[in-house]
Amino acid sequence: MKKRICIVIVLVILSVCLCMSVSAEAPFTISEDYKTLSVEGAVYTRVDATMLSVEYPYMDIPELTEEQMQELKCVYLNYSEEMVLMQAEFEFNDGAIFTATYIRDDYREKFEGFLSSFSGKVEIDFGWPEDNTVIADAADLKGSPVTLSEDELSLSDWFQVHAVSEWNGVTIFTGSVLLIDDSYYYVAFKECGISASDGFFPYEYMELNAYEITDEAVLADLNDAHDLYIDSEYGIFYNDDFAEDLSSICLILLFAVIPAAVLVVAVFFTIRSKGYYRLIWGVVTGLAGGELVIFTILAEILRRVN
Amino acid sequence: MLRKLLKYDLNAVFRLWWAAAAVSVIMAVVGGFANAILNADRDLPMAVRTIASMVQFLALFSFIAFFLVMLVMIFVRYYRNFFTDEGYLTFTLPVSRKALLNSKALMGVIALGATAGVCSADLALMAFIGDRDYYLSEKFRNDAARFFKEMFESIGGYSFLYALEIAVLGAAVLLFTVLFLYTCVTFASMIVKKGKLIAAIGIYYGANSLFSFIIQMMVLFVVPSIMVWTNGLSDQMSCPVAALMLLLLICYVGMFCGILYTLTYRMLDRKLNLS
Repeated sequence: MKKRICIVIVLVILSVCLCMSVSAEAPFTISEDYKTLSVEGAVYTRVDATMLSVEYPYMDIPELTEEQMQELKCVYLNYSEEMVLMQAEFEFNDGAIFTATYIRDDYREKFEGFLSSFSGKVEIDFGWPEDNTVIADAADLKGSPVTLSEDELSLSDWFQVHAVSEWNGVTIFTGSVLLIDDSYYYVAFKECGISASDGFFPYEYMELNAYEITDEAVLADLNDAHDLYIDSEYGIFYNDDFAEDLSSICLILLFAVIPAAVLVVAVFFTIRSKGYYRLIWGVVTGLAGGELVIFTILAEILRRVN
Repeated sequence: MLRKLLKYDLNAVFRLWWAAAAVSVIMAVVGGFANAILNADRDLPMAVRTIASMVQFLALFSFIAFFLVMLVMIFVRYYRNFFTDEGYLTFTLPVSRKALLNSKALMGVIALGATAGVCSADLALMAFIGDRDYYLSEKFRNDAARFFKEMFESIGGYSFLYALEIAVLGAAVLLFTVLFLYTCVTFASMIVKKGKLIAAIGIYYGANSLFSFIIQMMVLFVVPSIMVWTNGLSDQMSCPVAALMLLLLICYVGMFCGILYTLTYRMLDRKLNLS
């Protein structure tokens, strides 16, 4: 019986491995000068396009030649479902990281047409709920120029800004809108030398040049979209007074009412009991009392702060 | 007498604990090597990557299983000593019920604490073997030194207070886990005459699920309030407030430990019926 079970387990594992090997896709290869990528007969050539990115990428790891392996530790490849745009991250053995973008050769002309058709309309994507976006002219986002400090950047919420049109899974990211203390700022990637394919995290910068958005129509749209985002993301807790009260009631119930009830019961039994029971009820009394004292101190501190 | 009882309880539990701990350490080493294989060569065939990932998962699963096995062993030891035929012998010993319960509670806390310690060491070992070059490098030492330096600079002497409070809170949570188990088993044995074991498991499972649900709901409703209230705190006030919050939690968990202990002791002392 044991032998049969072992045979079945081995067969299952082998068949899984076999299926995976058979279903594995043809590997990507990279030319020696890293200027072209190839897969299944399609050739991709490198382009200088730092603003392009694939929003929901698939990932693969290309096959490296012996010579490339001496120089490179690894290469990660991100590509759209349509396999038109490829973004490669090269990790070298000395720790250096380099990213490059490749476009499929037979789509090159159409792609350049797509780039030139960019009308200047951009979409600020709040990400949640789905389709919660604000459409505006890129020029309207450029209000008064400011320099954001590290402290300000560390407090920011940020939302992607990209061209309204999307082509074969390729998106043109033009920048990011930052929300800091109820003010909106626009960081234009091209002007700041930021590459969309590297990802943008404001916390990583010591300072950043941006534009404060002053256009009132855009600000109103941004505020509406942000309110919708907050309501959907955090549910009833933030913008709803009732929910905030409910949350406070739960807090008081948990840390004040329950311990107070325990304290009353424990005091009652401490007085009534004798011997070991008095000792253990006494300990419960002490802990419940101590908890209530600490809660009162904390509540007083937080009340003064708020 | 408590010391003698504790010695017997610990001997009984740790007789099997070593084997379970050894298995978990072996799984940590195996999982670590699987991790190292995955880290070393990113061009591995998909089948090899999948098998290595499955081995990693199995290693993590073994740590959880280790903890669950210990909980079951503590449960069995308590149930068998008090509520089966062994109970007649246990309660005729010249030992107070207080000492019996204290011994079992201490045994539970020590066994679970040791298990948690070994599981943490397993995770560290797995991470170390998986990326040995990094952990032995100058960079790791510098990163760790910088982390502790920055932590000490930002919270200063409070780091020692936090460490102490977290250790006490961890012990209180372990005590609560053990006492919760004992209360459910004792209660089941009080109210049921036949099928005590199944009733004990059922009541513990039901009570544990209900308790977890209540805790999750409370966290869901309470955390936003805490976040809103503490939002305006200055850096200077954050440290004492955090220390007070930890102390509050210690008292809170301790209070429930006291209640569970009292309930269990009372049931053992006054309601126990082995007939």
